[in-house]
Amino acid sequence: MSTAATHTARFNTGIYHGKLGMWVFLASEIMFFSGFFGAFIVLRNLNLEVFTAGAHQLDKVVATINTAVLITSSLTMALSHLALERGHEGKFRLFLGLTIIGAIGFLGIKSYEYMTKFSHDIYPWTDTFFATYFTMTGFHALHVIGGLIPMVWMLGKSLTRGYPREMHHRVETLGLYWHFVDLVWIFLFPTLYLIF
Amino acid sequence: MASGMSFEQIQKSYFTVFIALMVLTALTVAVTTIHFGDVANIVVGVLIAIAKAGLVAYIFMHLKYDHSRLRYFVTVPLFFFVLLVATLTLLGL
Repeated sequence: MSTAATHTARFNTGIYHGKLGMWVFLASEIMFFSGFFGAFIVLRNLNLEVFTAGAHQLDKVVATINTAVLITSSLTMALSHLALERGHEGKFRLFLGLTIIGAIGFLGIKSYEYMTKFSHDIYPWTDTFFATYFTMTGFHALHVIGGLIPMVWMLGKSLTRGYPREMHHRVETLGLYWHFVDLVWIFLFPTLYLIF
Repeated sequence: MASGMSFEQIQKSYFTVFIALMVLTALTVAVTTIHFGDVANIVVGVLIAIAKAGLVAYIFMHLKYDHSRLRYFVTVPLFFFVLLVATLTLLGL
């Protein structure tokens, strides 16, 4: 089988190549987002009034709802992998579909937030706070889109040709990425919305 | 992952983590209405975020069940992240 290299676990660690590769990528992703958090701290310390005023203009209620949506999608992602691993393709489709709805819901709510800001003449170039806010949440939203695409592809494959149980590792690997996107939001949420 | 665990057991652990994450989210929002002091509020927010992150990484991302060496992929970049955040925070004080 051509996918053996990615699906066969190493005898001594039990880890298959796909999972190892994803963790290497996620390690680099931690460093990528570290840069943003570092910039946030420096800019905040230099412009505390601007950051406090800016953060108070953000909608905490909408952001809390969005946090709940993303956490729920993490749950359904974990359940979809579990379902396929145990050979329940119907449940796998159901939970993957729910995860896709969660991802689209998150992006929809995020777009609503952006549109509300634009309608109040707040843009990334308005001040240092909003430059930081739009950069951090924008890159996070790009990561959500990046997770959504393979999810839709997987669901499409399952509905048309079927998704074999032996390929549950791919779902687990995508799940690792998806939970990481959730993790980044868990830190972005208090940093941008709550600490001021 | 944990092949020794039944479907129901794993499902239950996922739902438990989900409820804990929701409770912690509610808690982190609730504590913003209480003023412990500027620094203390940030510390509380960060501690809750770390607790949530640990649950996601440990259970949803299977670090609890996978080979322990896989955790280096988290601990090494996390060390540099903490170093960066701590240094920049101390410089700003």
